[in-house]
Amino acid sequence: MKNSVEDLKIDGSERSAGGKYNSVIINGEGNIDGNLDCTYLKVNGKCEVNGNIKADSVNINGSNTIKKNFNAIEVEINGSINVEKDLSAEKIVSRGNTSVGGDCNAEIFDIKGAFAIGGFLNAGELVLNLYGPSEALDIGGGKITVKKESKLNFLGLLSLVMPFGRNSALSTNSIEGDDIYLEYTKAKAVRGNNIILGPGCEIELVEYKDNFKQDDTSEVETQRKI
Amino acid sequence: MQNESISKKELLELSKISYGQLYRWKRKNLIPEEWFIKKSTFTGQETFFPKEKILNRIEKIKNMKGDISLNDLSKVFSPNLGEIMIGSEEILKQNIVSQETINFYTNERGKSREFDFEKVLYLYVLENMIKSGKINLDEAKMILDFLEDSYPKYKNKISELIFLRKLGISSCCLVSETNEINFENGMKIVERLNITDLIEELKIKMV
Repeated sequence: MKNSVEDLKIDGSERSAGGKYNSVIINGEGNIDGNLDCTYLKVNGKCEVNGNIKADSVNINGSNTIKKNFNAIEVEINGSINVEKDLSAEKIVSRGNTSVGGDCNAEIFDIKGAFAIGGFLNAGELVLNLYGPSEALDIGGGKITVKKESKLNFLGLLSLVMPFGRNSALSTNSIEGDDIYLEYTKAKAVRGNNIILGPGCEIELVEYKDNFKQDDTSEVETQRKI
Repeated sequence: MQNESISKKELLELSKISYGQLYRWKRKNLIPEEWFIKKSTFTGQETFFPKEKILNRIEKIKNMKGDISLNDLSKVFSPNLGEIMIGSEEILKQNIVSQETINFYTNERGKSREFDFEKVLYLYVLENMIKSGKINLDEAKMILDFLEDSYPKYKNKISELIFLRKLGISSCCLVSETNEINFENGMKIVERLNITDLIEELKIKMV
């Protein structure tokens, strides 16, 4: 088995049928028509996969579109990624734009940039430093931290391209976790053990078990200790 | 009663777990996606679970958590038999089956140094039945033949093995979930083994 697994390297613009590889490196533009199963995937430029990706370690500098599911152990994104179905990994670190059509599962989900998740975002530790309006259907996990970054301190250009306007940084139906810190978040319900609302939140219902604090500039319709 | 459901909030309170734990177990596939059932209520949308199943599962996870890692645990609950191979010494060492059962197998099928999960399952079934003294060795041979022949074809559907005897003549069958079976009076059910439970037990012993 081991001998038959080869590497795939694309320089320039090329199409590949996909398949099982050891390492896959794309410099330029790669189109993969089918499922990709590899230990290491690196994209410098642009890559479109018409199928599932299963990989151990993934490094994307540029943009990547995946038409189906994306399953990996470690994912690092500098640029943008668009997964049309589910994304799951042990660790996802994204500097840029992350968009997922289905659910997103990760032990660590670390974002600097913006994201849009059509389904459920489930992560052990969520660190969201938002530079543009972001959304998920629902969010659940252990430790959840949402911060809105000021426009000047990181990627000045990015914030010009994706300005907040008057929107909240994050909008979602519900956020449920153990320890939650939120800024500029709009949600119907936030539930957890310890909840701290920083500035600019609009929450309809807060349910907490141990502690709850809120900034004066945040609005909460109903709060309940359970 | 079987279809009774429980809301997420009730569940956390009743089983004393946190959101973080619940979602971690969901990520590890310890709790199947299908058990998260969304329903509209007058307070908005809420998530419900099949009560009996989820409480059972959480109890099991809590009891086992200390000894094995969550990743190993998720293998336990996965319905697929892993691609685990295990040597006969290891089987004996882990107390999965006894030397007698291995000897029986060796007599029937020749010596084999390694067993895949299905083989171990067959051995485990035999071990259970021989030890309880409910079957003799000829019958054990019949069960082994039968399992080897039929089990792989239906493995994901099977939940029970039933061993029957009437007027000294024995037989066995594999049954899939839910249905009740009635036999005529002269038929004696010697043993009913829940295969799904056995698989879980076995996996815990093997990880």
